[in-house]
Amino acid sequence: MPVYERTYRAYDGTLRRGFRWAIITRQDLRVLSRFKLVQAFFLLGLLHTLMRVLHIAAYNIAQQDPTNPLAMAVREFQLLAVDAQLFAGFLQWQWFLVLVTLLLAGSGAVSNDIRNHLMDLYFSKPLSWRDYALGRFMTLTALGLALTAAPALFLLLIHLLMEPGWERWAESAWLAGPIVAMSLLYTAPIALVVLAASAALGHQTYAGAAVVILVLLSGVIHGYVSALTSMDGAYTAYYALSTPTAVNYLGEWIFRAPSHGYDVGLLPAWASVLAVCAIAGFVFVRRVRRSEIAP
Amino acid sequence: MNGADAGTETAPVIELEDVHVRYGAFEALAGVSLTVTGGAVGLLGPNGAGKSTLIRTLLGFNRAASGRVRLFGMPMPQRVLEARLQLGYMPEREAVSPSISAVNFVTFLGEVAGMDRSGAMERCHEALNYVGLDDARYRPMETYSTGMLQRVKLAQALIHDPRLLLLDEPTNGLDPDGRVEMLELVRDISRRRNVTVVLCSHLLPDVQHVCDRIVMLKQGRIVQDGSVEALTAPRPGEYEIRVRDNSEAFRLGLEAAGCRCIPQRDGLLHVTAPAEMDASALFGAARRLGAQIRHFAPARNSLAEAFLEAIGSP
Repeated sequence: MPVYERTYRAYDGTLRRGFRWAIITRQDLRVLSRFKLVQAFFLLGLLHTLMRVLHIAAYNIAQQDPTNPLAMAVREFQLLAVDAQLFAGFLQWQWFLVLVTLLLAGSGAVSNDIRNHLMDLYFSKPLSWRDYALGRFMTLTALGLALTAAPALFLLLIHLLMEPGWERWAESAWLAGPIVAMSLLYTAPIALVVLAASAALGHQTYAGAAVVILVLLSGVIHGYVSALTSMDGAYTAYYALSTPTAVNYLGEWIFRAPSHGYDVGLLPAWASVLAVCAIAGFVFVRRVRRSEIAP
Repeated sequence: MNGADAGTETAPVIELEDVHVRYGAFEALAGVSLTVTGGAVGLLGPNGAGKSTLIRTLLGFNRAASGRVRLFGMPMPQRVLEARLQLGYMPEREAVSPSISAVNFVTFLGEVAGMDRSGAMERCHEALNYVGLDDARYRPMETYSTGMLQRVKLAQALIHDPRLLLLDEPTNGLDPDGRVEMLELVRDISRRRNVTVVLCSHLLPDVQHVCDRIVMLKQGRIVQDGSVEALTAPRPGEYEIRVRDNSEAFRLGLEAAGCRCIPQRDGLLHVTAPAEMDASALFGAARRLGAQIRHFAPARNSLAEAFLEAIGSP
């Protein structure tokens, strides 16, 4: 049928069911991909990844050919060995980009829909509050993983491709699991907190500010606990009150690469992360559910 | 048919049985029973009568505290997602995604309704053509006028070819021309496209223009339900008469014969005749009194009168 004919015909296609959340995620990513600031932070992430690629290449060449001039440069600049610590460090650097990108992408995700009365339109279609919540969460998770897991796995692949033999492969291939796990640890709690703030505060600016305040507060808590432990080592578990510290601790534990002097303890660290996820998830889901089903 | 549950096609489109909906202690719907099998139904009532609550209950947004709600024979809210496959909704409030174009917006909602991307895009253009949104469809929606936004809302409601269209105040904020055009579209959808339309409005002419059945609500209860014809049926013994020559003598003569005469505009006389006096007696009186009848019709209730009668004083 010609497109530009003013008429109305019955739709003869089939309406699919299931995986509606994926439509929300796809549309979000489509819109966000045109957002200049998001593009800028992805570019920064890409530059960081390229620097690490050069590092890995130089290190591997130097390892395999000590006569190569690069070997001297590696020794001269004391480049880190390509091991678990390097990948954990890479992800820790990317965490800042994840935080800012998710703030940009997520603080208005729910609040703008509520303010613009779009929820009524969404839920008049065969979309449930579960689909909506999952779709929004998956958008931010996908963005977070695109800044963490994807480049880190790419770096690992580069490293593996430069390894001289299969036995060396086995030494490094196990890092894929920790990379994905730590990336999820860095992404999921932030995604849930940003979405909860967006849903609860109803305004993009307030939601963004609230998350920044929470992150700063975590830093202050970390500082206080640091001061306490310098006086008495018994207070290390209090580090768990700062969830970013707990996340870092768990990341290092996953990579078997402790780099900090503090010992949060596995139980307090997991409890801290899970509690933040549970509270943020509850606030987010409750608000979204109320948009579909009046209380 | 859009591929949704075809086994429910013979069932009434809407069935409500003694439905109660509460907001805390406030009862927004108090025992509403209603069956709609097709056509265009107008929901009328003063503010707070329960019109929007009724529509939101049909959408599954409000859950009935008691009673039974069925759409296309499917129990609600148990099969709400299936029912929504066949349901289009145009809300009263402005609903926009400011930074994206109408094409993106409506296509996205088509995908949410279950269409694939290319099907949704094609259908989006058809729906936007149908509602009369031309090149502006490619502009961000934040630049649209109220009338354009109303058209976009109608297009998104139509994109998946619903069997039931719920329209909440569709002419809100429209200029007179836009209003007429919107009403014509809605009428076309209901009469020629075989879509059941529920139109919620506080504008009686809008409802009368589009609907063939009217349901009046007051304080969460249905106080009147019938066809426009029935609600505006001729009242026995009441006539509208216009005469030429001797109109004053004619009026006085009728009053002397026991009629109640109320002059209306344009020389029209509203005559309420006593039970024993029929139309031929009125013609006889005109002949006797030297008046020539130029207009004679049984008096009908206007919709406004029927509305006021049903809901009491405004």
